[in-house]
Amino acid sequence: MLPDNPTPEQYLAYAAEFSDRGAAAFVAAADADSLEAVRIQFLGDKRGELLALQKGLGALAPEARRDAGRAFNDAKARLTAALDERRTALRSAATTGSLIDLTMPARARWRGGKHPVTLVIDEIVAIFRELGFTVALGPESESEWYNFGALNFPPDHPAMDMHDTLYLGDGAVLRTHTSPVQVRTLQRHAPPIRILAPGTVFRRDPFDASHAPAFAQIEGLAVDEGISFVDLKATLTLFAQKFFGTTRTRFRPSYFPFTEPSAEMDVECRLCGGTGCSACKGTGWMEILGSGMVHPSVLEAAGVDSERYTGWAFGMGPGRIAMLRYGLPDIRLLYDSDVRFLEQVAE
Amino acid sequence: MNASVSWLNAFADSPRSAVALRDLLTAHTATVEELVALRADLASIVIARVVEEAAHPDSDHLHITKVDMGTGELLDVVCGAPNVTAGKMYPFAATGTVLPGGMKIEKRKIRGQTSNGMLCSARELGLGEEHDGIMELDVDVPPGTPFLSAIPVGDTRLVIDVLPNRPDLLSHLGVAREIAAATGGELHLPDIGAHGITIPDAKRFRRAGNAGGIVLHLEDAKLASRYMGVVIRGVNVGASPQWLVERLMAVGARSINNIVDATNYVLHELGQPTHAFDLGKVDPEPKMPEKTIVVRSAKDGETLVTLDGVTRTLTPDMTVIADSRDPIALAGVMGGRATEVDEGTTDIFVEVATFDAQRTRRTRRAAGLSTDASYRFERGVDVALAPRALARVASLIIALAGGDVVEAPVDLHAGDAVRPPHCAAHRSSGPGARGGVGSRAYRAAPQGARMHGRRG
Repeated sequence: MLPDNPTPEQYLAYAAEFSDRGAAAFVAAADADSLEAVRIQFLGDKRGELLALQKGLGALAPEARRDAGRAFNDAKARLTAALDERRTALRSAATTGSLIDLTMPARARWRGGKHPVTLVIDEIVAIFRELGFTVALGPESESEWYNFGALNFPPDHPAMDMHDTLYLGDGAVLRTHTSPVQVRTLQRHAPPIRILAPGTVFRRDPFDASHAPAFAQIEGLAVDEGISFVDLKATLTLFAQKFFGTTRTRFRPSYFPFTEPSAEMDVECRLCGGTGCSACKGTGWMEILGSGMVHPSVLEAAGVDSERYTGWAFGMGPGRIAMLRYGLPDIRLLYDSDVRFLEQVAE
Repeated sequence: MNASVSWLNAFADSPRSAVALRDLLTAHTATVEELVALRADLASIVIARVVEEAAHPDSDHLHITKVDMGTGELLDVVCGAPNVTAGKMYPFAATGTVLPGGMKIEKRKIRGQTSNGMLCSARELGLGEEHDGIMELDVDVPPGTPFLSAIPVGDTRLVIDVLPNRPDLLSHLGVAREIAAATGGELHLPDIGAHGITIPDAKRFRRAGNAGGIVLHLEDAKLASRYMGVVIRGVNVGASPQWLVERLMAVGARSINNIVDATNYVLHELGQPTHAFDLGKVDPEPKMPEKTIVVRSAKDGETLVTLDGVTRTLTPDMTVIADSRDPIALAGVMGGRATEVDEGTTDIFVEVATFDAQRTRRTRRAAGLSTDASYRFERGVDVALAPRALARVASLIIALAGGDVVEAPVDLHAGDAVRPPHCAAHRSSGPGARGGVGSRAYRAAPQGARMHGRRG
């Protein structure tokens, strides 16, 4: 404490003690609140200790005031600087910590979703599930017998030209269609049978705007007593209505070795509504699937009595349907795994 | 399969438009993928009327005319044709039009008189060789009407997606038969100007027979279920008439000469490939007293220069037509260069065969050479079609190039092969009777009602 009437020596000693104590107190202030308390204690406008030191100056003899005044000013400047320094230090420490607002919601990052082809398959499966179809699967590496022989492809026949096959050797091929699942299912289960077989199939095609060497296909098969083309037509028409919404459909004669008769189904062009445009090559129709009555030879190859049972089958390309649905000009968009594209269509 | 609308209409009583045929065939038979407008190069030619005609003051053969092309003003046109007549209608190429030959019509002065276009001859429009005068058109249409919409030269090609189960559609006859069946119309072969030409019936043998100075051998019936041939002597090889050139152009084929064009015509009309050999070049050094043509497997390492000029090394997988020494044609695929018909040819041997489908396929694959002929043999040519095609091609050759069939054609085949295929159809109620109306199943079955169908 400064005596009421200090000698110049007492004043100078006190000023030095005050200066050291204050500087230490500022450095020791741990946070903004304690720094403020220290500031009030030493530099406070009303009762701060610096104020007492200033008043003490007046009690000194005039000839002593020069040295004492300098000591006072030194102490004041030192503590003011210590306050600023500590305040800056505390503020920068506080800023580093408090930039993260822990209450702010996280920015959404796209974490992936179902591929458009998978979405189409799921939707097709859901529609047929309601009609009593279940999902069956088969291997992607198939024997030539399941892929061709059992499906009534004659050896050395032009029908083989419809499939550019990837041969694995030893009588194995990468399946060119999902139709082998028909035979495998018929061998394992007795009719009545209603299955859907989605899967990947392989062709030795160049990878261009409308061909991919590996692509999705979905097969459907119904075998029972008394099944006729009427069942085929009614079921597939119902499917088209459910999938595309109310739309006109048509069947065109076609050919597959494993069905007879065979037909392709078209839906009215999604873009022009049937008046003809470049997407449908001016016909007003877009092909969506191939179908037909299961050839008796296929039933017999699978050990099913073709006198008792008949069936119908279809196959379609979910990739192609995804292209129609999303208006894609190039099938490679579906298989390039470009996230900028997938973000827009995956769910 | 390329089909010409005009050619298909020639089989029918009443013509149908390209769009009508596309819709009908797509719904009933096979998908028509594309309509290709032929002669689109004539799209800007219009029909114009010559209103006034006067002699050119500075020429003894030119005429000055005033032409109405429907624009409301009369154009001054200088014309050199002797037959230009006031009041008549002609094809007219206005300034800016590009003619089929690539010539662009421009406004220019001819001996001091301005000419704003050209009245055209048939040759200038690529419609024939006629160039003695401009094409006088006997049509009742207003001036300015597009030439193609009034004159039936703008044939349309139908591109039909014929799948492997329908080889019967690989000909105009086959497609026309579908149209007739779907519409209930009549079906008749087009007139090819061969009235009064009769070809004698063929003599039938199993393995070998003599056809007018040449002995034919079929080594193995597995190579060809039928092999027919006829010798025509005294033909004049030359250019084909315009109608034939147009038929071939319409399906995308090129005119070569009247003999080759006749064989190609029959291929596209009936679906039966045929081939003409220059008889003079066949078996030039015979081992036998008579020339020989044999259908046999190729020997390993034999070579043949085909019509495309490529030297091909043969394997026993391939079937060849050979004379007493060397192969002269790759059976069912392509003829050989050594026996090619050219301007000097006078006697020909015409082959009409039914080559085995699987062997043709293997031959074609081994040679890497697909042709209109191999495409059809691979898919199956009706064995009963051969005699009909032989008479057709022989009479067309005689109509176009003259010549005579001196001796009856030869027909080699194992008898069984020409029996019509046996078809059975079975129509039964669904045994489970789960449906009501429409639950009947249609399927092939070995029993039940039997029908004997005939292909061809």
